[in-house]
Parts: sequence; C-alpha cells; structure tokens
Amino acid sequence: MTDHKTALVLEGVGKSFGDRTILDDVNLRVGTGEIVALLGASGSGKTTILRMVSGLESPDTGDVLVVRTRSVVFQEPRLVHSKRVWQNVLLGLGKERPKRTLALDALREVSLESRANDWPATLSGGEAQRVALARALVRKPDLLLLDEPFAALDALTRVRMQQLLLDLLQSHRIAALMVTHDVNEAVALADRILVLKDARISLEVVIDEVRPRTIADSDLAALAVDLLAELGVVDRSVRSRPDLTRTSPPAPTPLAG
Amino acid sequence: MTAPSRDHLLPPRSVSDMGTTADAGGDTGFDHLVRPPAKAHKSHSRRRTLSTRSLLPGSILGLWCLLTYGGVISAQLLPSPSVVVSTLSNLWDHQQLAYQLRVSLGRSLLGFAIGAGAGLILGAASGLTLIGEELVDAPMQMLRMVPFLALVPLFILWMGIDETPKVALIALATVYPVYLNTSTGVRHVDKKVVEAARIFGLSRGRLSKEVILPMALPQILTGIRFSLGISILALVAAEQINAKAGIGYIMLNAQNYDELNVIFVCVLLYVVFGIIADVLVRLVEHLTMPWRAGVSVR
Repeated sequence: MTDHKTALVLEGVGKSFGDRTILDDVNLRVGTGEIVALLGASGSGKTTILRMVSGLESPDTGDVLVVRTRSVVFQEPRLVHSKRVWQNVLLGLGKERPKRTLALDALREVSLESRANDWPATLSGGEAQRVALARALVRKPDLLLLDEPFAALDALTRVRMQQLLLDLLQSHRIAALMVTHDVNEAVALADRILVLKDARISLEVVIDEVRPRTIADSDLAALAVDLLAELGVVDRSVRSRPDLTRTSPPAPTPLAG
Repeated sequence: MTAPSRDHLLPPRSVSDMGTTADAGGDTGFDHLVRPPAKAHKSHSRRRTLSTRSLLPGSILGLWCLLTYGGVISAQLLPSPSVVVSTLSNLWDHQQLAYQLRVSLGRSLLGFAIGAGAGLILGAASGLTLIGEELVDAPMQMLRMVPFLALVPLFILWMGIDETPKVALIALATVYPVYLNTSTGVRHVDKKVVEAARIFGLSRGRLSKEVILPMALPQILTGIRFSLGISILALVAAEQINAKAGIGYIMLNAQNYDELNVIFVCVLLYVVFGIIADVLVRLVEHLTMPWRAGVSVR
C-alpha cells in the first residue's frame, strides 16, 4: 500500500532485454498532485518505466507500486475509429452503461464539446490528442502517465496543449509522470525533473518557479542548458549553474505500511 | 537597457522583386516553375455513376441483340432477348418459377447463414486467441483445399437425398472465405489501439466486441461478399442432388431436354442474384461502418 501522499513508487527497479540492461536499480517517487518529467535520450528506458507502471511490462528486480486509478496518454491518440468521439471518451469507464453527459463534461474541459458526435477520422491531430486527454481524465485518475504526449503535434498546438494539460492537472490535483525528450517542455511543466542515463536516474532537479513559466527566464534557460548537457547534447563547459542541480541520484524511498 | 538593433532586418520583398534579382532579363523568372497538378475532386452525380456502371452490361446486351436479330448467330445456338423473355414468362406461369426461386434462395441463404456464422466464430476464435489458432487453423487450412463439388457423392451417401446434404454442401463451401478474412482481419487490427484499450481496463469480451471486431469489419465483409457468391455457386451443384424444385432443378431438366432457352433464363436469374447480393452487401457496409463515410483513398 502506498500512503495518501504518494501516487507512484519505484524501488530498486531493474529490467533487461536479452543482455542489454535498460534499467538498473531505479528509485523514484511521485507525490500526490506532483508533476514529474522523465528526461532521457532515446533508448534510455523512459518508455520502459512507463510501460511497467501501466502494467504492460513487469520489472526483473525491485518493486513498482502505483495508485489504483491511473490513465495514459500516448504519443498518438489511439482512438477507436469505429466509435464516435464521445464513445471513445467513455471507453475506459466500467461495464454499467456510462452516461453520455459524463463524456460531454470531459469534452467541454478540452473545448471539444461540439465534436462529440463526430468520427475520430475527421479530427485534426491536436483535436484527436485532446480527445485522448479527455478519455484519460474522465476516469478521474490519481495519476496520469504521459508518453511524449505532444511530440507529434505542431509547435503552436503543442504550447496550447501544454497549457491545457497543466490547467487540468492542477485543477483536478492529478499527479503526472511525463516522459519526454523535449527539455523545454519538461522545464515549463514539471515540479521535478529526472534525467535517466546509463540505466539509472543520474540527475534530479526540483523547480519551484511559479507558472506560467517562460524560457526567457534566465534561470530556466540556464537549467535547460544544464539538462541538455546532462543528456550529452551540449558541451559540459556550457554548464552555468551547478548550484541548481543535485548530481547524486535520489535515495531509495522507504515504503509506508 | 538599449533597444535591440534591427539593422540586420529587411522589409519583406514582393514576389516580383525576388524574380528580378534572380533574372535580370526583366521577366518574372518563374517560367521554369509549374503549378502542381491539382487532384480533381472525384465525385460523380448519381445519374452519371449509374450510367457509367451500366455501360458495359448495356453494350453486351446491345451486341446480343445485334447478333441474334441480325441473324449472325442461329437461334439454335443463341436465343434472342425476346425469346428469353417469353420463356421466362412461360416458366413463371406454368412451372411456378416464383416457388422455385423461393426454394432455391431459401436453401442458399440457410446454407450461407450456417457457413458464414461458423466461419465468423471460428475465424474470431483463431484470430483472437492463441489456443484458438492452434486448435482451428491447421484443420481449416487443410479442409479448405478439398473441392466441395467432389464431396457431393459422399454427402448423398451420408445424409440421404433430401434437404440436408444440399444445405450442408452450401454451408461447407461458404465457411472458408469468412473464416480466412475474419482471422486475418482480427489479427491485423491496430495493436496500439488494442493496447490502449487494455490499459483502460477493458475486459476481453468488451475488447473483442467493441474494439477488435468493428475494426476488422471491412475485411470480414469482404469474406461475406465472397461467401454470398459461393453460396449461389454451390446451390447449382447442390440442386443436382435429386432436387424436386429450385433453379438448379430447372436447369438440370433443361440440360436433359436440350432446352437452350430455359438455360439462358437460368443464367439470367443467376446474374440478377449477383446484383442483388452486391447491393445487399453495400447496404450492410454502409449501415455497419458509418465511420468510413467520406474517408476514402479515392
């Protein structure tokens, strides 16, 4: 059991595919209502963590504990094309015929109420992703898992979606674990950023800057550069604010109960 | 704080300005460029569609008239359209053609319902579950290759000469197209959507009924289209088994008494069956897959 302050715990999690070790002793805790971004190069095991939390993979070693009600938003909308928009929103609700009004309420939150009766094939990329978001939120999850949710969207839509996501997460007090390789997205949205490197969490950064954040903020710009350096994209010499980052991996979180 | 320098910025140039810098000849300089060919919006009016569709059958009818009324081919080999029509009305009046049709279509549809239903169930089982595939697929692939016409004597031996072997033959012939198309259709459903639905906690039953089968429906209907055609084909073979009524029975008699005109009437009836079956399947496609409306590669 997790206590009421925790939405997700990974304790000493390891995972290998064949002789490739993807994750080795990963410790991670996401608090209630906390937004955590997981950064990492391609193939660093970000998605594997998300798949383990979703129950699509199981860890080789260690333990994964997660709140019961959780939802996922994928990189692609993954809507069922044979169901109308509102029926797609209700996909994840239980057997007893869920009410259409529930779907309409959820669609209103993503400003798509007018498209409720349309077929998914007629939606634009951003609209379809908003439907996917509504489908995830209608379950009233305590934890939302996001796998590069806006990577396939154009830059303008992405900014709008980030703002929308942030509003919804905060107003419903939903914790989020967001996998991304967009450093700016992580800096703009997250309460905490974790960098996954060499199968471990190599860096943890807490951001308590108020939102809405802009990358024009010099502190945040410096942080973005630091994160890019940690990911091996920019040169170490560019690193500017060593005081902001804690380079030791976080200690294992003791489990309550 | 000083205002940022804007010296490196230039006012936007018009298109013709850009042309003159590239081509000092004073021409616009875009002569080598062409407009991309716009894809014509392919939507025909109902009347135009109908006339295009009937163009080929119409010309065949015309050729038929030309050859028979023009005396190119003897009436012993090819009866003229008017003779075929009078034979048809004769059959209707004196041989209870309406009743024969009812008997034939009843057999065909009953056999089709049994065969297609079994194909759907077996195909879904084989496509959806590993154990289903291991159990069912190999036997189906083996039996599929047995020509059903070769089984007619066996069926007579096993089931006698009444309705049972006829319906069984049609059912057997219509199983395989539906089976094959259902199992492949189900197997090729977008895995990502299925994965998403699974994460959202859909039970196996709901997953199959609400996500996988609807998404496999286009291919399942292709199988049903094939099966409907085959059910008519198998009908002809089935009605050679000691039939006392039905189109096949009329055709067999006509063969025995060399009634060329009657054989032609039967051929025409099968043609009409073909059109009706196609219209029916199109209607079903339209009704069961509304999400595909207006989404097409054409």
